[in-house]
Amino acid sequence: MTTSTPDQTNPELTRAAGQTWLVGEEIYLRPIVPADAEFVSSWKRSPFPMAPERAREWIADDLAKNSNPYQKAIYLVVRRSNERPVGSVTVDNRHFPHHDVSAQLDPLLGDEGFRLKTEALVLVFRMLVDEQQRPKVSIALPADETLVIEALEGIGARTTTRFREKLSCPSGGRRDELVVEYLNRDWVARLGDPADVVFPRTGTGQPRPVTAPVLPDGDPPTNAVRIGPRVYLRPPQKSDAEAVAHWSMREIDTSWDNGRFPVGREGVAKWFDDTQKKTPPDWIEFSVCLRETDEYLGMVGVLDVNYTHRFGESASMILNSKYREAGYGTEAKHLMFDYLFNDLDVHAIQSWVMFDNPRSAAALRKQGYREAGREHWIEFRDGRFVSFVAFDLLATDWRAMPRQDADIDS
Amino acid sequence: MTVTSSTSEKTTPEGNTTPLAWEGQTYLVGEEIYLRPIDKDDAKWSMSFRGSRFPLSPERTEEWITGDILKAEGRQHLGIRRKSDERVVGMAVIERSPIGGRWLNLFVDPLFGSKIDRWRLEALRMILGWSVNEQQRPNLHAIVPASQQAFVDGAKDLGMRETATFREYFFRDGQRVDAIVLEYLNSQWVSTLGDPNEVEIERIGSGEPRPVPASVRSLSDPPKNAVMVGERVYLRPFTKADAEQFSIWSRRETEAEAAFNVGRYMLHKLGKWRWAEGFQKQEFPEWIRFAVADRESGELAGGNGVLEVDYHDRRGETESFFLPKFRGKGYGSEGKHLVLDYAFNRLDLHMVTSWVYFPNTRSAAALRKQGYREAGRINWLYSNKGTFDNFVVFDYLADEWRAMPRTGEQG
Repeated sequence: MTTSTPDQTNPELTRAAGQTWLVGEEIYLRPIVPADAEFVSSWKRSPFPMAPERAREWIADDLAKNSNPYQKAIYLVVRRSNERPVGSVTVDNRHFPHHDVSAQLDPLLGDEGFRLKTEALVLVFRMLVDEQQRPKVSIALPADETLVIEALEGIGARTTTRFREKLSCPSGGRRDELVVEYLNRDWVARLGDPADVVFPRTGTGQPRPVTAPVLPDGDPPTNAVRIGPRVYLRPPQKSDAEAVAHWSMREIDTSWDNGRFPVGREGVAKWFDDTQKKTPPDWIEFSVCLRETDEYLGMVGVLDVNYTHRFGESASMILNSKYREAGYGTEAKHLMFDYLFNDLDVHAIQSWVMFDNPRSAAALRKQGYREAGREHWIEFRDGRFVSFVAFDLLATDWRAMPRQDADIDS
Repeated sequence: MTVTSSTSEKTTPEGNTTPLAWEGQTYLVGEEIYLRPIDKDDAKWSMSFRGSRFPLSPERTEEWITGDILKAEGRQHLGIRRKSDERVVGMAVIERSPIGGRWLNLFVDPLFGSKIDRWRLEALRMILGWSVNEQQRPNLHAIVPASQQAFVDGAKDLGMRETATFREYFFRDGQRVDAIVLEYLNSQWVSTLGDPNEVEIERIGSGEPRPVPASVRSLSDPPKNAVMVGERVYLRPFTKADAEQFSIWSRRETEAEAAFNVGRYMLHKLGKWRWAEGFQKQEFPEWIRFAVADRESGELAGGNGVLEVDYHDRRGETESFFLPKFRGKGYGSEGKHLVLDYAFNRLDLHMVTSWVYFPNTRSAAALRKQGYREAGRINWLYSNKGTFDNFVVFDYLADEWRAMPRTGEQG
């Protein structure tokens, strides 16, 4: 038995010898150790430079704190021939029944990087689904990584969603992103193939004209960011937390999500505060208020904002049911699109809707979103796992949509 | 903010009237009580809902409400409130299981006497309907004292059933009380997967207990830093170097087929150490983790310990893990008896439990040989072979362990 010394990492931690699983032809996967900081640019999922000293701190602190293979874990991808770290695979097990994987291979490896990424992903997919018996794993991949995608399809994985122009290309321009899933055969035998389930559609599917923002004749509402004919957007504030908590206990609709979720005002206030502390924020939330009375109606926002690829996921919620089905949500959404596409220069947004919620899906189509595919087995419903339908909306789509006639103020 | 019009009012101690907060609430509202998240104004009722055996001031509870509980991912705290005056009388804590099911802990202030069972059952009825059926979850579990007979009977009337009994698990009102494990299954998931109780527990081995290998009581030169010493192995505190060895072993595991888990998991050295170090920093650790070393060579053979230690109820859950070369040779059992000796004779625990994955028949057989008694089953807690799979659970009383035949004291 060998051990690490303060100055030297135990070689048994950093070599493939003796490892019995997650070992491929050219690479193997193992936990990250402090010595791997020397190669941080090869494996850390970040477009920004990080010094080995900073990487050591990150490994000893952030990574160690959040390293639980039952919850979320990062595995280093190491080339077997020379024990060089070449990338990493992150596994997120926190959202049963679906499990997300992402992979980062050193872009400087060129075609070899794709080959090694393929091998790493096949090992990880099989570990999660075949060995650990999880129902499903999925990964989002650039559409031009055909080698990787075809190899995953070779073990039984399949592409279920195509998000248009979601990613920027290293050489300029945009490229699509595909979502590839791998399902556990025993669960498919038990529940049937989710691809066979037909997604119910309602409504015409035709987009409606965009409600454009306006400039008011008089003073704008306090702290407003965008103003529409009937509603305006402003930053969430502490007093809104009280309203969110209040309406969360007065929800009458159980169809848009799996039941109702009560929230406490302290939790909501902290969430508002936490999201606004970050610059730039990865979750941008607006309160939707009625122009006439300043009444708080609900919220619209975009989460998981990616500032390098310029995309995010949109979300909205009108909390007081008496203001639903009256166009307030759609008006607020278009105000948010105007902010996202024209102020932040976001290129594309995505949205997901549960299969059992065709009404929200119809609203998205009316707002101009296009169906991008489906993601299976995300949640529970009726004693089975239920799937989601995925949508996207490009800034160019939205700009090309017809506008409503000029409104009362402008 | 506009609040829906209210028809009911309460009178404050100052004589003012204010609308009742539950007016307009559309769910989790019962006849006498209703539930909504705990907020900082509730801190003044601290002792009615914290379920603490020790005094907690409103100020301390306000800090807890605005701090700790907001960090509790996957756990929801709902205040149980009396409708007539909004007073908080208890709390329901709902946690998420690994497959998205629920664990429920229900507390109502015992000073409310005859109303307790009624309010608890009313809360349970609402939580089952909302947290399992409306939120589409597969199941909900609760572990309750058997002395709460009226509650247990009422829970069964609501569709729950008993799947395990841990003997003398709680200390309540001056005596030991059994714990009953209650489960509630979503009927739609039962239609899809079948009744888990119909899946039989596979048993191997004779089930007969073997004599306890006695610990060594005195040595002129005990192994360095040893806590408990047996004939072939000893227990010592888990160290950073042990975490490193666990990380190496986790990469060399050969038993993919559910030896200790469903599939293998790779451990991160620093993550494992941070986890162990965190418990060693606690004055009364919730998880007491030992390294098990071979006496002859000093080599690390595995790890074992007691988790979920409750120093008031004097109980815990035992666990152990051994390196492949030390498996199947009695090292695990010897180490386990050292842990039991430590738990019962040094910590004065009254009983321990143990949980084993259904497919892991070997570990279950080992527990029977060590003297554990089968306590029942806890269904649907992990995913395996296209279904939710179960745990077989065991208990072991200190008196039973002390009454076991010994192979002979040493030292």
